[in-house]
Amino acid sequence: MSFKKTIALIAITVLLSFGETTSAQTTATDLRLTSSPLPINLKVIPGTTVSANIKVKNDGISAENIRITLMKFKADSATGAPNLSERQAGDDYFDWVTFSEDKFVLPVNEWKTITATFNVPASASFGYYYAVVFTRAQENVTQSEKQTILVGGMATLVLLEAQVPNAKREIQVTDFSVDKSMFEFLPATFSIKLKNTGNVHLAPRGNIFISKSDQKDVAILEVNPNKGSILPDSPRTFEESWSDGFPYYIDKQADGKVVIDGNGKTEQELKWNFAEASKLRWGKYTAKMLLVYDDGKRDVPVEAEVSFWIMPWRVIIYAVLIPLIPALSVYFFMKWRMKKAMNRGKKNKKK
Amino acid sequence: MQHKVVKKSSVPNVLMLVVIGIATLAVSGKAQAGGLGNVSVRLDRMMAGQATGGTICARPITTDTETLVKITFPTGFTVNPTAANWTTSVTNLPANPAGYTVAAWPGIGAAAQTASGQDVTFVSTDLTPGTTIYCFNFSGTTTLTTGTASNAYVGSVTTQKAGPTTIDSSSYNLSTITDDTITITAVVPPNFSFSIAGGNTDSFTGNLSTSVVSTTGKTATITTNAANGWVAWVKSANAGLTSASASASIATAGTVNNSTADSDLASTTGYVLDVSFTDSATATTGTVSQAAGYGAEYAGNGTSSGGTLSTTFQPIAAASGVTDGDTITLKERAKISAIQKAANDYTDTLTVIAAGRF
Repeated sequence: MSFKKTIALIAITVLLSFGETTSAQTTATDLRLTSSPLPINLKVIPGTTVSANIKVKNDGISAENIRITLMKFKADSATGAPNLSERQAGDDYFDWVTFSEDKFVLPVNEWKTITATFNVPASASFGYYYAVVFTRAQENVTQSEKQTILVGGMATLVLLEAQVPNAKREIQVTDFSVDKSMFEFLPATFSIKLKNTGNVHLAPRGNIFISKSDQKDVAILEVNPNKGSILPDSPRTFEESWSDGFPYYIDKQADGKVVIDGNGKTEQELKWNFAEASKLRWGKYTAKMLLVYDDGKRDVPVEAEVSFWIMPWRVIIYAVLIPLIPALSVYFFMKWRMKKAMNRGKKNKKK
Repeated sequence: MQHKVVKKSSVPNVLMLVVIGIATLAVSGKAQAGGLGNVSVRLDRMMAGQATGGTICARPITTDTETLVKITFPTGFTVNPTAANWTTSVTNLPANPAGYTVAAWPGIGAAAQTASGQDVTFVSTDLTPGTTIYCFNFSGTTTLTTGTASNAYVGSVTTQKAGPTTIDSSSYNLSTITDDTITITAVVPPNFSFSIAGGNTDSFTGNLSTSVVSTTGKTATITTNAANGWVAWVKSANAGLTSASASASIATAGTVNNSTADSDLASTTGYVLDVSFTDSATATTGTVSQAAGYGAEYAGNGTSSGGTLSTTFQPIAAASGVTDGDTITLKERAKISAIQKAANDYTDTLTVIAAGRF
């Protein structure tokens, strides 16, 4: 082999190897990532450091060059919807955060643990809300005419509380209601609208106790069993359903999927479980909600109450008709026979 | 034949009887034990089966010389019978309710005098009836354990004088909940999977024109066991399709207002994003929605409308619980005016981020 040919072969090999390297960043394939855990709740004394491990996995079919960027989130003060945004002027708390690696190659089907370290200054107080975003490091897009670009990313939300004595922890109930005032059958869905009027996030928990006149605790429902947080100065609505009745409506399913009607609403059907016939609900019920949150010293209760009626009119009609129809049939039959007998008697008398 | 004579009562006679009745009741009320005012037993922890301390408050009604206060805890609560464990304090008492003043319970014993059955009795000194609510705390160390979750617990607080003889007594209600803890660690950690299929470019199906032209669409799939569901946002690099070669742009239509009505390209020109979703809906999964504040802006009609694009992140859809593969499909739509500058490099970059909810 001549020297020139050897050089050319080396050059081709090098170029091919670059091709292989860049294939790790190819954007023609699916981006598939998994992260854990979520969200991350951290509490820290100002002036100290706290760390959290975030695991990320490449579920794709080729290695990915992953980049970590830091964003922030807050809850909309009117709807409570989480809003994501990038760093803005004055967001010095972004500088407190460092990552063990902020760019790395993630081979196929492998997990990588990234340590996020929050070096919280002594002047910090209350809540800080970060979004740790994982995206492809370099979107080397080969773009043609008429094309737009779509960059995908996955975020892990971090709720950091810098614990200070003057934190205000307060939740208010803005509404506690049930979806109807009169039901035929369960479920009854309770809507609990809460507002965090403090300055740190809180996760209230509790129960709805349902009673009927002198029957206490006919049912006990859990409120916020998933431990969802409410961010400061924002509302959040929780919904809980009471379906422990006979019969009760369930979501209609076909092939393991919930059936959606033409209006995009879930279709429902009655479930008659006769083994639980004793759970036929009727009359006036009162639902008393008791939530608590930790104010740093003790449980602080928050209460509200709502009443509603359950009137299973179809069952009542059936219950009346089932004995009534045979009774009426017998009555009218006997009446007819008596009349017939009397007519026969009259005819005999005339004869 | 005998007739019964019924004598009609005159109005003055009836009034007299009423007055006598009220006076009798009033006099007898003085002779009997009265009810305490503003009675409350506030537990530090309200979780079922939980060891807890608490705060006891009451306002005396009857003028007498108190020497003891007896707390009867509800049946179902476990009361530790070691009186010495029931230590007290009078710091961090509740704030003054309107019209009343909260004060430390005078002479409250450092620990209970007796603890038996559901009753715990503390030494007290004389209380002054009026607008003062007297309070004290009892320790949560080996004293009281709450019962099962219920809204039906009733107990009582009784003030006593030497004898002991009851002076005032009133009942109070207590409730316990199934759980009040917010744990941070978990055995099965929640995880969140996000994928975008087929690379990162999306093509318009034809040249942009004075009719609505859409991209073929990109689909993102989300799977998570996070019980609070997920939320996804989108951001546009320029809030418009821009051409570097022509130095021109096709601005997004409408404004971000939770409605696609102002960005329906059937009646206007511009550039919008339509986001549709497929719910993985099974009986155990959450529901995907595009409610107001959660993507209503981008819930287009599938043909001509979409949401206004923004250079800040806007929510495009959210789900309320765990999911086994919810999908969201993003389609960009554009319609230009007849005088739009010609170029072959109009483009935009959308950034889609999804996260498990807090």
